[in-house]
Amino acid sequence: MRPFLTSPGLELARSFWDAIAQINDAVAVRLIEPKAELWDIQLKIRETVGDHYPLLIRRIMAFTLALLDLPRMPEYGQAHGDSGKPLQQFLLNCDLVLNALGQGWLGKKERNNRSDELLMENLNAAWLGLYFLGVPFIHPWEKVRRLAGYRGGFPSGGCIAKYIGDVYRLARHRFVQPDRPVPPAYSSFAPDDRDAVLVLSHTPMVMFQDALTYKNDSYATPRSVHELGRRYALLQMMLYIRGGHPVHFLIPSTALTLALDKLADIPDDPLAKAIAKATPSVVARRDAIRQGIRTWMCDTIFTSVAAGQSVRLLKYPLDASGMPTCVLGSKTGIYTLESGETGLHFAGNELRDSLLESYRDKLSRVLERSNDKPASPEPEPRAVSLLDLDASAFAHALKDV
Amino acid sequence: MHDSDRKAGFWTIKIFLGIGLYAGLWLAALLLALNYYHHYAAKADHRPQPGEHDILGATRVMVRELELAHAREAWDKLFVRTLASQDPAHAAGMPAAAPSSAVSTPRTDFDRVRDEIRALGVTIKDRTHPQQSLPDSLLKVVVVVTISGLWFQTFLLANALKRAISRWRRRRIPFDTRRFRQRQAEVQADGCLHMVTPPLAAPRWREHRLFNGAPLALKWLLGVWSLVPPLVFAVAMHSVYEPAVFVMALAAIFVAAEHYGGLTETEHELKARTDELKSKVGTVLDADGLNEWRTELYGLYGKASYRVDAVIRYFDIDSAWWKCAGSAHPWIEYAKRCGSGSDSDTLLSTLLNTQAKVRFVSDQPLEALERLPWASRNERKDFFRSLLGLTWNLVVFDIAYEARVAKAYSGTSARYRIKISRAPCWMHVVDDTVFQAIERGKEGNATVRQLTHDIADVEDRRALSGWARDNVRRFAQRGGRAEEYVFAVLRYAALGLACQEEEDLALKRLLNQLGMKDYLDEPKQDFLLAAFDDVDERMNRSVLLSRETAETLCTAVFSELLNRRMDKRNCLVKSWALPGCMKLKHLLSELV
Repeated sequence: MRPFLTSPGLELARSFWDAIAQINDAVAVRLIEPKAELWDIQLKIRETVGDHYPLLIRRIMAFTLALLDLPRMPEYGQAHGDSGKPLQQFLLNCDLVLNALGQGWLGKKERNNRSDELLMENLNAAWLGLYFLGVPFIHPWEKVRRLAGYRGGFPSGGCIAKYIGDVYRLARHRFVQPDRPVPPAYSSFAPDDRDAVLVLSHTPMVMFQDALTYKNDSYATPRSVHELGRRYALLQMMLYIRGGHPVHFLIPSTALTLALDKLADIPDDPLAKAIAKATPSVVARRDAIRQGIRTWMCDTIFTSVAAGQSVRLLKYPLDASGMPTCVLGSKTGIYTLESGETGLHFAGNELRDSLLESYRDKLSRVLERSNDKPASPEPEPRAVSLLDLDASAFAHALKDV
Repeated sequence: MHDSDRKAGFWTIKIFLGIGLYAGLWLAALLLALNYYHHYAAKADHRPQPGEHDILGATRVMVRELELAHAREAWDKLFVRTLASQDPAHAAGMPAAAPSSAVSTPRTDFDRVRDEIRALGVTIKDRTHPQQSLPDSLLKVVVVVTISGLWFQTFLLANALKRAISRWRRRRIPFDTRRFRQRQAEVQADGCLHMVTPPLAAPRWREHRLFNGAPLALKWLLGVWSLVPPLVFAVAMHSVYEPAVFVMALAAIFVAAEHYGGLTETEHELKARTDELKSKVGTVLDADGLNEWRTELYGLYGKASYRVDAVIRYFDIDSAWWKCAGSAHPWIEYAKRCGSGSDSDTLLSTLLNTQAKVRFVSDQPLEALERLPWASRNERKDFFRSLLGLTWNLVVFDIAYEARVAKAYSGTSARYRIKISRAPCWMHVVDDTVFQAIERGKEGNATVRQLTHDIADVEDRRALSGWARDNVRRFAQRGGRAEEYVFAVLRYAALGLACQEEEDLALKRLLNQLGMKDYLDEPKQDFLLAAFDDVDERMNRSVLLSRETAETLCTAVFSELLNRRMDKRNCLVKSWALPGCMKLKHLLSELV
């Protein structure tokens, strides 16, 4: 055994990732419990974790501080003197942890190339861990934002999911402490579409429970952080929806078809696809996922539908093609080019100011037109609002995808 | 003074007066000295021998008698012979002096005695001071006073001239645009195509280095020139008093005058340099400087109409707050004080006046929190003070927000935010005024400077303040809400004490865990501990409080924030929030 395998840094990293995995498991159970009161999720996690709780906090804090100390910052310019050494050690540790979890081995070249991504994912994991333990110190995430500023975006996976969650969280905070003198009364609050969260999604979490888990191991960090990120996004989304705040999900039906194919492991290659679609077991799997949409969406996420909330399936004439998946709050938003689990390492960035405005503008127009009555030559409506449908109508609306 | 005449040329009223005074004193001294001479020489027993007061003749005689041979003889007498006589062997071999062989007679004795008595009389007449009459003495006193005055004025004038010369050398004649345009128009009317070069604004010859020595030369000239009146006086006095002693006294006055002039100059220089430094470096942020800066900032906040964006390293707590110690509800008392206008220099009253949106960014290192259990008393104290300041500011912001909303019925214009984020540059942007604070080691060494101080152009000011504001905004966007941070810190401390979620929140215990005890035990700027409460302003900004009262006030800051946040029912925690009963799990309502 090589000597560095027992270095304190590695021990720290290992125990950290153990803690994250443990938290991830706890969240996975508690998040989708029927009738879960989501705002006490941190209490539930403490319950689930039990006596390990203080230990987990201590481990995550220790690792967070080590990460915050790491001198790899673009503002330092080229690594000089010893400043590269801790980073090298850190990258090696990342690789060793990944290997120990059975997710492969990056190798020196790749981990050096993706060093910022690794650092950001680790910091993100630290923040998520602290959040679910109920002590969400902003510091690790602040460093992720800083690095994202220098790198021009967030790495695919956990970081983007965390940012999506933040969009919902910020929007919820804005609604709960509005810039208006009226005290917030949730039932009587008249939703304002100008402040609504607009979502254009190609792999909608709102529809697929399977979108929460990762089957593919192509990420450079343990999958627990990516899953935890998604669960954070889901948690924030559900808190937002249950608060009765306005949100509109727009889902192009073509994208839904592709997403279903992907989740059912149907390959992209046309020939292989044709073969797979002829295989009864694959078709059955795909159908099962499609059947699951309504249960997931109506029973778990939208337990009650407030005014100003909708999920719309966009038919061809309204397809917002050319736009990436995006989640747009009124002050900040994010776009992401990741679809599924393979693809770009850096695939998304925040949207602000006029860019955000233009995205929101486009989606608002799509939303407006989706309310139109179908014109006479068109046999079908341009958009289907899924939440208003009963079971059979729902199945009918989705029969083509 | 040095500011007002910076733009002037050589001639200022001060220079006129100085030269006039110098000339007057010089003439007066000369007049008095000559009068004294005349008066003295007119007396019968002091009437000079013919040629006695011929200065030139006397000088000639003195010079003639200066010879190398005399000097050598004196040298021999002083050193060489003395050395020889001290030689013991030499001294032993010396024969005893022979007794005088002259034979004395009564006649010669009488002559000798008479001669000696006569000589004695002459000596007494020469060496004793003449009897002083009052007018004599008065005249002498006036002469001495005038001469002293003359000399002091000489060096003061030399200083003034030095400054005037440097002004004169630096002075630029303002560019006469009207004449230049006229000239250009004339040339163009003539159909010439050549350019008219603007006239040189300042004659360059003034900057020649030949003038570098001018102030020193002037000083010497004035000094020597002012020796003339005393010379007359000295000549008249030479036989009255030992000239060497007399001149030494005069020299002492002269040197004193020169030193006085030098000191005045130094003082002036120092003041000018301090002002210059102040405009370049800014206010030093020690206790006094902080006070000054705070007053300035609060003034600007009150007048601000657009935005206040600032990076805060040290959250100030008003001394007015500590003075609310006596009240059962210190926050109500504080709000009342600030609202009534009796305390106009508090943060709250400033925020109530301002029209601007306020956004603060503060850096609260996580490391300090994590290693708090092992930290030294001083570190714990610092940590608690920064947390207390932050929390106090949050409460004040919330009060200000509510007041503003109640007044305007619209919250859109009222924005008071504090974000926690890493903020490497310490800047303060109030509308288009930018302050840059520079940290130098420990607190007290930091300085603050108004970057926009010298920028007259509005566009330039806006460009700079826009850039600075953008910087602060970027820090703020990356950061998290300060309320969340405070709640997380409290929860972290509670978990460190192994509290259970259903336990009541023992705020004092938590705060002690976070360093409140150390903060109260150490001497501090905010308030001084006293045996009993003696709420008063002492030593600039201190308030005397007892330890218990101070502790109650610190706890009140945190509990007020907790209650205010709970009232907002941030997180749908309707079922949780029971007034008066706060459990550890309730903290989560801010953190979800």
